[in-house]
Amino acid sequence: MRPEVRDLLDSLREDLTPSEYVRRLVESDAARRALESPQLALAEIARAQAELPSTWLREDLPDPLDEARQVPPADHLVGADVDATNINLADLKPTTS
Amino acid sequence: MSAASVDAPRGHLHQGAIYSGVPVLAYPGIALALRPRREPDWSQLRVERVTQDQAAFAGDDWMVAYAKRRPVLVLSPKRELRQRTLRVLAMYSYRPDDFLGRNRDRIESGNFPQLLHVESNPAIKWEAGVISLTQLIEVPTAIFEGNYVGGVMEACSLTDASLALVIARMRAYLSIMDRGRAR
Repeated sequence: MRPEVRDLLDSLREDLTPSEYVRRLVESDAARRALESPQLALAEIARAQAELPSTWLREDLPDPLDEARQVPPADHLVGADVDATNINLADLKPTTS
Repeated sequence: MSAASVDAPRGHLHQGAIYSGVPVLAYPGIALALRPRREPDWSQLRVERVTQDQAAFAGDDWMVAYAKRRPVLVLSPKRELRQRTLRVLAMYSYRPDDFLGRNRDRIESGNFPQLLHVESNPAIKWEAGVISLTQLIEVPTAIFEGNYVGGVMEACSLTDASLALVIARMRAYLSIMDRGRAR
C-alpha cells in the first residue's frame, strides 16, 4: 500500500474502533450507491426538503448580506495610471493557462 | 442546535479554525482590468473599463477588485490543508445599523437558511458573529502562514459539534434546490 494511501486511511480511522470504522465505510458506500440512481438521489433530496423549517422555503426573504457586501463605486478608478517600471514583467504574466 | 460556539485557538491551521483579518475579495460594480497603456510595453499600466470587451480576462489581464478584511472559517478537510489553496467560509459581524444587527434575533433563531449565528465567548474576547454558508471561497494557504499579508491571525476554533453543525447546515441549505419544476 502506498504511504499516502495509508496516511489517508489512518486519518479516516482516527479515534474510531475498527468496528466503527468498518460500519462507517459500509454506510458511506451504501449512501454512495443510493445516490448513483438519479431517482433515488432526488428522493433523498425531497426527503431532506421535507424536514426543513418552513421559513426556509419562503422565496420572498431579502438577501440578509446585501448591505454587508456593498462595494464602493469604482468609476473613479477608470483611467488611473500605474507605473510598473520597477515590476518584473515575468511576475505580471501568468505562467499557466 | 441553531448556533455555533467557539473555543480558544489551537495554534495551528486546521479544519474549523477561525482566522481574523483575511482579505476577502469582491467584484466592483463595473468590470475593470489593469492593462498596458501601449502594447507590448508592460511598464506603464492603466485601469480600463472592459464592460463591452468580450476578450477581457481571456489572456493576461489583471482585474481590479475590492477587498475587505473579514474573519473566515477554514472549511478545508485535512488533506487540503497541505495544498497551496484551501477553502473558507466568509464571516460577518453584527452592526447596530445594518440588516444583520437589526435582525439578530431572527438569525439566532435560525430563520435564515444561509446564515449561522456564532455565539460570543468572553473568555477569549470573541464577539458574536455570523457564518455565511453560501460564501465558500478559495484562498491561498500562504495567507494563514503569515507570508501573504500582515494582520491575519487565528482568533478561535469552532467546537467539534459546531463544525459538524456547519457542514450539516450547508447540506440542508443545498437541499433547498430548484430543479426548474413548474411552480
